Amino acid sequence: MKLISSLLVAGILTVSTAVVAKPLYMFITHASVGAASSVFWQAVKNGMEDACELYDADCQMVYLQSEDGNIGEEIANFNAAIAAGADGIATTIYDETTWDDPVDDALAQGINVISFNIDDENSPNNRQAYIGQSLRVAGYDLMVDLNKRFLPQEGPMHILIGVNAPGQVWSEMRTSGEEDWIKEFAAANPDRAITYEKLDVGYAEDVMNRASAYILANPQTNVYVSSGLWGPDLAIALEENGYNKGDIIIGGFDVVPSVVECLKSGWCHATVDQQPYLQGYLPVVQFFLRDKYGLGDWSVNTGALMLHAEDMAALEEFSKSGVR
Amino acid sequence: MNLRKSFKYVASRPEFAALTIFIIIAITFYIINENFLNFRNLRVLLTISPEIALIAMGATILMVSGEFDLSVGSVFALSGVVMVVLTNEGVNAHLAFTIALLMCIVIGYINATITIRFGIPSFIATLGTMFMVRSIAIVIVKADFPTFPMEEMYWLRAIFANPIPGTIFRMSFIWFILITILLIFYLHRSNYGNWSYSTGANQAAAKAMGVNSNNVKIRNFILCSFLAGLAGIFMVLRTRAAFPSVGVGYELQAIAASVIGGASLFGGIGTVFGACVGAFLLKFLDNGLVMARLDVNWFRFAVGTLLIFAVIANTNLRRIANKMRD
Repeated sequence: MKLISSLLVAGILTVSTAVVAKPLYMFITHASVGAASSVFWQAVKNGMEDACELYDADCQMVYLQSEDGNIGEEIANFNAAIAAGADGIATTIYDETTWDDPVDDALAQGINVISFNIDDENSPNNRQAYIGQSLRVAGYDLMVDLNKRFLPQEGPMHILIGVNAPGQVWSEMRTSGEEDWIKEFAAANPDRAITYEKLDVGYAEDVMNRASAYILANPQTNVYVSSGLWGPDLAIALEENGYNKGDIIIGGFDVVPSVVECLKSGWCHATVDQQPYLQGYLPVVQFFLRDKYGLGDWSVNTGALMLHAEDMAALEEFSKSGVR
Repeated sequence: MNLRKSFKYVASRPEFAALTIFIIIAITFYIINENFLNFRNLRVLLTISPEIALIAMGATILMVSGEFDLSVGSVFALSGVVMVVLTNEGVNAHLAFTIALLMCIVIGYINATITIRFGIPSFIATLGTMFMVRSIAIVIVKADFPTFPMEEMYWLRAIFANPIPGTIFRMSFIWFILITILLIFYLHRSNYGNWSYSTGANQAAAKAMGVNSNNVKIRNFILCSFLAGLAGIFMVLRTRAAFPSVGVGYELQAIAASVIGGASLFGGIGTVFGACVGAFLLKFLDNGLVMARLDVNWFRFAVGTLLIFAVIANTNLRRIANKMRD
């Protein structure tokens, strides 16, 4: 499977480079073809395509044919992109050592390499820049923001942390950031009963099922934060079960129409916009500037923007068009 | 003697093991946490379970006639996306609803045609359409993630999805009951049902008896796609959001529910009621594990265990029943 997919990638790229003399920028992702249907990855792709049109580049987003996070297949795709003579490779990096040699190989051949969406922030390899959200920081910042604006300032607090994708780095790191804040906050407020629990809540209707079951079984819960965009599914269950807005403070990630509606209605309280469009757009800009003027090596944390109900009106149109 | 006959009848029913497990699990979770069966929790369970049950019933009927459909998860996503996108484009919401369901029927027909006309195993044919249909859903929303048109969908939500005031039910549950009754009649009380069983059990023999097996399969493929599409529409109307990524993995959940409910992967065995029990069992188990404060990371382990246990129990119960003299 890996061989076939690598040959396919190399074949397509070889043909496209032979026919078109534009610079070739490859985006190698850890997302599978199935995950590519998500709102998030479509926004990344839209960003890439818009930038490539603007800078007259030939671009390709390569998804995995097997499952999310198949590291062997992603490395095979990365090597195929090198073999195809890409001018720039943007890749998702989520292991401390696996990408070290392939990145060095690419750089040695004069190919620019940028990590996007996810990066081994603790021990970065020689990639030239990272365009994406600092995942742990984003989870931490979400809690800081919620505390500043919505969380109860006295009395006990029990927080349910919904892990939308257990085992996936993006999900685990975000919830780790949330967990870090809670631990620090609890230590700083020894007079208050601050507790939390992590739960695999899955996606969509699983969130509705599991998170609402948890809240029924643990009625002391007054905050729900997660690693993804499915807070609205819990909000629907809460609304129909007679809860009031604000009984449970809901915070999460990303901006899609359902999150926008939930924030506007007051059932959801804050979301972190990691601006996926920028994660597709900015690597292309950096590849172009490096090729043309030698400018580069600038990393961007795309994911520190906190959004609330009052931000929705301005944002709504962009969400509909798959940009935000 | 009558008791013996009754036991033989009950034990030979494909759904008996699943129903027994369902009751045991419900009681166990209730003992662990009495909130498990309170109105609020039942409201959630009765909201989400019918959607997967509709898919499982379609999958079961198709399995009875000896075929599979792996494209149901993709059809589940596509139907809702098409309905919402068309409505946003100015098409009347009821017409968009009808078009979305007609499209599901066409997909079912395509699945049947590829399988029957070209003699390809349905596992492969529908694996192909699974990818193709998912791709279409992605392409449709690519540049315009659809906002749910609340005003235009008012009546569709009222008819198919809204909660019924003063009860724990939604309209989708009422539709689910009606459809279940129709499907029970279709599979267990009509000629098409008999022909489905005979086609799945022994297609050559069925053909020799004059059964038009191809026709039976085409109907069942279409029915399976239609039900998956309808479930997807129910979900979109309920959640007020249309994502092309929903329904990933539903094909396996539907097959798991069917098998837990007593359907045979080899065809010729299975009931509509069993599929419902299997689907509800999966959702109740998921919910109950949380209520019981067990680590939900073990959910898939629990489903796997349940699957194997239910099949073993079904097989042995049928064997015991067959050995018993009337």
